[in-house]
Amino acid sequence: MIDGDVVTLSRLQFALTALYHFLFVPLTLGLAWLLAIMEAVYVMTGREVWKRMTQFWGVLFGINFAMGVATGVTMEFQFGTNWAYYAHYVGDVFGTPLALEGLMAFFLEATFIGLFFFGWDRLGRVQHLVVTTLLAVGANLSALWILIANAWMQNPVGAEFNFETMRMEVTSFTQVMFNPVAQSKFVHTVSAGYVLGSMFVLSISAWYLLRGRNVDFAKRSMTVAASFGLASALSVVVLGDESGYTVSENQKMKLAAIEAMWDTEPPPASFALFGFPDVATRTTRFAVHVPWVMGIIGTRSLDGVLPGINQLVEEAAQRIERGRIAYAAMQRLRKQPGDAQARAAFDANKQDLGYALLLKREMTDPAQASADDVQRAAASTIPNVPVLFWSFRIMVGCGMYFIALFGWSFWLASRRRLDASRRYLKIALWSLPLPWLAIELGWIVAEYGRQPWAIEGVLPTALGVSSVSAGQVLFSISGFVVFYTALAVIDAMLMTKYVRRGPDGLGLWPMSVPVSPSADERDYGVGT
Amino acid sequence: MNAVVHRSDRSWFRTAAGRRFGVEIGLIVLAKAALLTLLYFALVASQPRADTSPAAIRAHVLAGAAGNATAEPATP
Repeated sequence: MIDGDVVTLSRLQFALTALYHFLFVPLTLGLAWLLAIMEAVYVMTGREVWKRMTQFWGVLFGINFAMGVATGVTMEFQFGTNWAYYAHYVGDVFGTPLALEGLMAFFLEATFIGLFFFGWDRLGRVQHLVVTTLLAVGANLSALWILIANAWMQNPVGAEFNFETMRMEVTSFTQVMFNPVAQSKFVHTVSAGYVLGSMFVLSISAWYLLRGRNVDFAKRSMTVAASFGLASALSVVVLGDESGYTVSENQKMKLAAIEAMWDTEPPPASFALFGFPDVATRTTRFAVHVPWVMGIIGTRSLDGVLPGINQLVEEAAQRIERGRIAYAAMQRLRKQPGDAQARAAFDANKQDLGYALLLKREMTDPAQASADDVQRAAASTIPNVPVLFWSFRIMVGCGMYFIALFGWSFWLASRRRLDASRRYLKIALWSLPLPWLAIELGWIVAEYGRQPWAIEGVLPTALGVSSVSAGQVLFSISGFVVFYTALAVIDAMLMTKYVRRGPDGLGLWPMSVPVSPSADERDYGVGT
Repeated sequence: MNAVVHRSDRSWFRTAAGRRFGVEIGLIVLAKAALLTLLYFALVASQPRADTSPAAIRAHVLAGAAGNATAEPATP
């Protein structure tokens, strides 16, 4: 049997490091494009203020990049230390996207960030703009590869289990690359990063306006953030819908758990707007349903059926039985590779082999499982319904709020009235943490919702864990917590220091020496 | 007028404040690299490695489980 404490602690450690790492990543993704937009305006208009804006927000980008870089490396440590069996089982598929992600992040992105900071005096305007754009492209490509790897965990296509090597092996890298889950996940995730980057610029600029500092600098920054933020917030919702559609095709249990849909409803299924899921009774108390909505979103039809949790558990039990046949056949094949009967049984049931492995959490040999064991293993395919239900709703609520806030900001910017309402500025300022909250909740929905699987339908999480002790994992978690807390404190102090100093305190703007020719003089102080 | 230094040609990152920023960021990256190395040697390298030999994998998936697989001492 598997040590449950080691599994829980290893999951906790990975979740902590992943959630921490993703505090930095989306800001890099979003801010990089905002820098490119600001610099593009500078190149097109020649107005100095846009260059200074690029440099000021570039300073904050640099702090975020320096603090965030390599915090993800510890996750890769953990594939070896805590998830050695997982790494063996899926390494043939998982290794390539991870290596490509490393190449993109450490070579392309890191090279261009150096040129971004140190190339202002050495490169022409257009050349430097190309550098900034490639910095943004590099950051986004890096995200693409890690999301291809992650999407394969949600929808394992282009690979097959080899009973001789006891691992998944690639059959089509094209399918892995063009996994529909990867496509929808990538655009949804990077758009969320763009929203975060926009909110970062909007909120800090609102703080300057509230204090009457850097007024023209802040208004221009807010105009860019409002436009880019509105487009991104709309994209996040549309692309999130696409992401949800792929979940309804590949991870029906996750979708049912997000909706706390205990039983299959007649199509089109309703959307639970509110309620308190009760896991013990498998009901949702005080549920408020909106008819048809979930069926239309989930199946894009009026007659598509979305199965409920109870029906999916019954289906899981059947798949466990088929998986046991595949498991027994695999054992026979390993002893006698020429056994045609075993080969036929294995091939007919191998797609459910992973379900038999669910039994290994409680017993060493799935062949010994009783009917009760099978039912318990089938019930274990239900993720944590209340957490998913509420995480999803808070995330979606934040998404709708972002559309409203950026829409309001865009409307004010188009009328040059961004500093007219202190209430608006305060709302913009205090909205700063919300994109981080929404993004972290999004990852909780995606990853916690995949449980009990490390690889959906293929490898149970519990089976991927290393042969280490709970004490060892607890020891390393303590180390990570201390290290990451120290980093977070330094990051907060540095960000606060540079934001408080602002463009004026840093000598970025207004410029102390009048500029000739006078385009900047004409420009400065004229508004947005 | 042509003799006026075009202030905008000089990058902020080459001013005193910009250089200080560069030094701070550089020190942070170096400190992080050092801390990560320390973390690796203190928490990772000292731990026994999971046994992922073919025999252990067979035992893990086919008959045994994580708790049953033997751990090998770390190699330097």
